Amino acid sequence: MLDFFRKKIAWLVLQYELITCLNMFEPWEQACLNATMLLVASLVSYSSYVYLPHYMMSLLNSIWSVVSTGEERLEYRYESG
Amino acid sequence: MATEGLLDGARQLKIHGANGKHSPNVANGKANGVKLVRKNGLSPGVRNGMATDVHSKGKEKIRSKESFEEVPLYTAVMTYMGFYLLVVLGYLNQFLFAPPVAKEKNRKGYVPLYNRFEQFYSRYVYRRIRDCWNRPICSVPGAEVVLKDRITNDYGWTFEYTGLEKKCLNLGSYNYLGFAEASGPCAEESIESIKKYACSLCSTRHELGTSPIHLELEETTARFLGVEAAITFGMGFATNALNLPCILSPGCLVISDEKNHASLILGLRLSGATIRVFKHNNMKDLEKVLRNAVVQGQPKTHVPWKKILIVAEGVYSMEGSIVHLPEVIALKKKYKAYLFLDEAHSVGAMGPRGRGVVDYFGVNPHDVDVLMGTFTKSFGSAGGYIAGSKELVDYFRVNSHAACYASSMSPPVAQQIITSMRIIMGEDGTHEGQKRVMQLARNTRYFRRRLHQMGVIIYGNEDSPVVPLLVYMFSKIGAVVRTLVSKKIAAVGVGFPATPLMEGRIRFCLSAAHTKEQLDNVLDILEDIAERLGLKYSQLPRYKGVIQYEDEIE
Ligand SMILES: Cc1ncc(COP(=O)(O)O)c(C=O)c1O
Repeated sequence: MLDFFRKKIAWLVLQYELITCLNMFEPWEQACLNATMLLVASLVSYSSYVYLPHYMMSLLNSIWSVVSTGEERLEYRYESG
Repeated sequence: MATEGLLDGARQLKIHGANGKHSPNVANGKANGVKLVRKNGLSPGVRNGMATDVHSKGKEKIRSKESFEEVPLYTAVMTYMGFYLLVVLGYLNQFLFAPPVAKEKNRKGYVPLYNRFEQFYSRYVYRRIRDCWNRPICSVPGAEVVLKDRITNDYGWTFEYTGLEKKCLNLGSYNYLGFAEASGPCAEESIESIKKYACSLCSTRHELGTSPIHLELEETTARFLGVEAAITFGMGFATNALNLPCILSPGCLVISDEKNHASLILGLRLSGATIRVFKHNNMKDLEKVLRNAVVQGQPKTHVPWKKILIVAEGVYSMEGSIVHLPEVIALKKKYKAYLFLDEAHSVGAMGPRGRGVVDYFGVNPHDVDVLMGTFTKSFGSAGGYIAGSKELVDYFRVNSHAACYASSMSPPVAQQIITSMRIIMGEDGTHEGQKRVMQLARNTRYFRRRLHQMGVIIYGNEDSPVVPLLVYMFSKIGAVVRTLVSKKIAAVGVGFPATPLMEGRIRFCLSAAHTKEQLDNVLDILEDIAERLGLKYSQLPRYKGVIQYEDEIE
């Protein structure tokens, strides 16, 4: 079981290396690339943890208001416009 | 005679210089005083080719399976991403560290002599996997080849030899019929010919460079191809690059396949003729381009083209596809165009008798106006030929720059061709040649079917001995070639300038010298590599059963 996972992870790492051409780079370039990838990944996960729930809520709210009370929205637009 | 007009046009150009000046209603053949019924290009009165029927179109059509599977979208995106990463990091590297190469001094104010991007590309993309190419070898490249080991300590800028050697199975040479041998009749007779004619004649064919062996070679080549005459040159590339300008001039139209070899493209550009490109092996597109050319004539003036020449290859070395010759010939007859067929990879390797694609499709060699080919591949030698009618060949003999400036072919090289050609034709009294042709065909079909079953994407026709295996990504070219070498298999990777950016591939060239056991070994290793490196891109249904190696037919 453990062996299976180890193989699977090794395979995934290899795919990552191939896709990013990591196996062609010099060590410092590899470090650069990995750091950038890590940075991007961490920023994405951080922002999705901090902001995403809020965004999703407001998005759902607005969709819900459109679906349930279309008239209200119309009125609102009329007033504001 | 079909070639008559082809020559007349060019000859006329030499004499009058300006064929285009003739009034539009005088077509190519007529202007020359020769009354040719068939005209090339459009004349206002008569629509070309409208009256004649199209032969052989309805006849039995042999078209074996050919496939060009689309790249999966995900792979395409990833390939581009990888390439951008390579470029970005390459520029960063170049910016931070001066490349360890010699730099010119005192060049302030000069514009760069070399192409900037090309230089960047070879230094910062190609260099990283440079160890996969240009490997020195130290044996005859037969079924097996001995590679000289080398290592790099500075990421591909320089290499050092370790002093070790590695014997690999050779899937990288165009040794289709296995005539690259260090012993055997070919080698023996070549050695004999050195004793008789020396190594080189050090002169051109027009001067002192013609010896009986050259005449014999040309006679044998013509007999082999089933045409009237042939002329040979010492270099295949120059055969194309220097002879195409002889029959073409500005005002001529060339319709060229988009995947044509660099030598053809160079020859066409040198000639100054207008070049139109049709999609690879796409007969509909070819017909469209042809029809437009005939109907519209030259741009702006609408004068008919002096002549129209279709340029195609027999087997395409990067795609592994085979030209649809019967259809091309039908179109060429319909629109009265000429056909130039480059059989570099097909002569010897294709057809039941090994006479090239003409033999493969069973068409009449006289239907192809100019048959060109090289001796570099199947015959294990070097050089090129042009064959066709006697008149055509004589015309080339007189006018070709390759005949009057280039040194003539070295006698042992010529002898190698003569002997191997005789063996293929069975003139040595054995069935050796026929056996080799059949062995190659069996190897090809077996190897291709097994690869197909494996689920990798391979391009081309199932009968073509060039097998490109698509790996798409740059990093995978390097990874696959390196892994193969570590498992003692030598194959060639092909990347960007030679192929479209996205379509990196590994090219296997099969040979009659390979045995089934050797192929099985390669296929097992490939299966493993394909699994590990993720090369199984194919989404086509696969054959489930066991693929049989065809038995020898006596
Ligand atoms: C289609 C085609 N034409 C011409 C040539 C040039 O032949 P050579 O290598 O004998 O100069 C090649 C060689 O690779 C080729 O593939």
